[in-house]
Amino acid sequence: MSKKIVIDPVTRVEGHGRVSIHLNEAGEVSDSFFHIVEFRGFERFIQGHPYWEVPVLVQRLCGICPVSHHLAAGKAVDALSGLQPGDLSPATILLRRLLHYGQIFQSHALHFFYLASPDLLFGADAPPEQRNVVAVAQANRELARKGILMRKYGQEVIRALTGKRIHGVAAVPGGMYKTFSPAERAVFLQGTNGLPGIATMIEWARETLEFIGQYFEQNRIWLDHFATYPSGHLGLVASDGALELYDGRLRAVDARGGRILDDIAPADYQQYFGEGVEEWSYLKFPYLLSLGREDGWNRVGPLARINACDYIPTPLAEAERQRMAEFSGGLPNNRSLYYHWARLIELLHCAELMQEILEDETVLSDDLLRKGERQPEGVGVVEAPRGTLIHHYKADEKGQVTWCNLIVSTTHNNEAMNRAVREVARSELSGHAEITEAMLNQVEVAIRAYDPCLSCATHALGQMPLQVQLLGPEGELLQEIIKEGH
Amino acid sequence: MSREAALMLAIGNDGRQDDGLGWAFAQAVRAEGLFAGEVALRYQLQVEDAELIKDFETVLFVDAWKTNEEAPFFCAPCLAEATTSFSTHSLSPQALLHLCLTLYDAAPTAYQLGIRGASWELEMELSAAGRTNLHAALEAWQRKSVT
Repeated sequence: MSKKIVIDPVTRVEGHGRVSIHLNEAGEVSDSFFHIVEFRGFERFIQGHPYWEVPVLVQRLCGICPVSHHLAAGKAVDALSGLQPGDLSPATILLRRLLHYGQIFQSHALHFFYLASPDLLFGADAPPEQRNVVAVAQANRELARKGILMRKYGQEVIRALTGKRIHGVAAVPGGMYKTFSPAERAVFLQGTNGLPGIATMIEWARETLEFIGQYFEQNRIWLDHFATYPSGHLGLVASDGALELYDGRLRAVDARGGRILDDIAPADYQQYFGEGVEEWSYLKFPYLLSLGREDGWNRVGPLARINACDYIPTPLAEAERQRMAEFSGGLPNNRSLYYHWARLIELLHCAELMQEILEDETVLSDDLLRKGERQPEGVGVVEAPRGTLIHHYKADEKGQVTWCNLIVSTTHNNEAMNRAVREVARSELSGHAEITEAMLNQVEVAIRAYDPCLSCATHALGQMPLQVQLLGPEGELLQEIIKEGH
Repeated sequence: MSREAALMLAIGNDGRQDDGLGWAFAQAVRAEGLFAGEVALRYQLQVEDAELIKDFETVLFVDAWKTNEEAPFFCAPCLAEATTSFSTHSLSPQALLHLCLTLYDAAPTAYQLGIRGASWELEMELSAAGRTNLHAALEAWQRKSVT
């Protein structure tokens, strides 16, 4: 008798997803699916609103990465206002970048310290009561305390620039809403009683990388083989091939490093990308038109970005990139769990970038606004914490939005996460008479590596649990794990 | 409870009708000068809030209360408890207190005020029943019968 396993909800991810695993008569995994069962409607209900409201409205897609949506929409609205990124004032460019790096810094810290570290510290087969941040706090108090303050640092940068830690206002068409004061800058450069300065953030990021480097040395066999499969890798790069998180050109490389997309203006994305749909998920499946739906999918996010770029333009992070590259012989790394390492390299990179900006006097300038000539269409692309984020709007002559398309980071990783589930289900579950909770957690570990934001990807509302189901050959439910969300 | 060195941590979402009761209570007592301590609003309690509450003698968690009981609100001591939700970046008040103790050796005296809500749809306004319960909680607060 064949079986079907369902993991529902998948835990320690942002949002609600469900995994179903089908077993054949021999108890081997015959198929698996990662279903995103939230429904989204932002692309529709944004229509009719004035385009200048869009950056404020669409950030409500998410409570974890609202700044990324705010800035991608802000760039698109700049384009609708007739302004390209280079047309903005130097102070606006620096302030938006500072905000962006603060967002990535806090998001990466949250994921590593709160969500991923239990898997790494205690192992994927640890008891469920140990796989949480409270257990991390008990086992490694200093690590947990530093993680909290690193997340706080990024959140405070966001609050200083937008007025709130979540859902504030910063980008306006052609500029920024407020200036950055010398007193605010001093807080982030030197720190205060409750918040260490940027030098400490860099030091702690390096310490965390030292920890993860040793961890990868010690656990290399598992890390190299778990959820490993070839794919393309997509990200923004600067004109010289450097890693670029805020404003660059699109590049995709294949599993061996060959360029399959290069030097593409983000505004031209529709010429290169299609979006597939499946009846079992609300999440779309983006792919490169030149390669087709089956072969044209890409990983995005920290690992993909580091695979796609030629180098990282800050020295400490670049040294770490080179160290990680040795683990894959200098070729693109196609191993899912290396996302954790790549994420921490970006954590350090963002800290270095924030230090550069904070030490630049231009950031204090009150020259923030530029004006252009209205255009009917605008595209904004940034590298959000989880990957390439595309916002595209059209507006009529009254300035009302008439059309919107969003390709969210987690959407790009949809196929990659499904492959990860399939790989792990086949390697960990096939042929076992009994499927244990620890085995099912391995599936979740694979998904968590991608740090998916399912609420973002579907713009969902309401409670967001994650579940796993094991199904028989006739589709009968054999086993189910449901963990209620909030 | 001493209202000096106190923190009111209100949890909720005013875009979901009565889920905003906690925020509405905190904003009302602050606006009317009925609370001398600090007030903070949260969509949900997160790990980093352990770092916030460690510095206060007293913490009052205020949230909407989803219940079948008829009382308009409840107020009770809140004790540290080693429970964790699956997502672990969203914590209960009890788990947050436990985390605070674990990380910082700090144990603020804590209370929980829950105000009964009736409707949780996507609207900015409290329901009529929610407003009634909010007023009951505010009156009790003014009479200092919530202490």
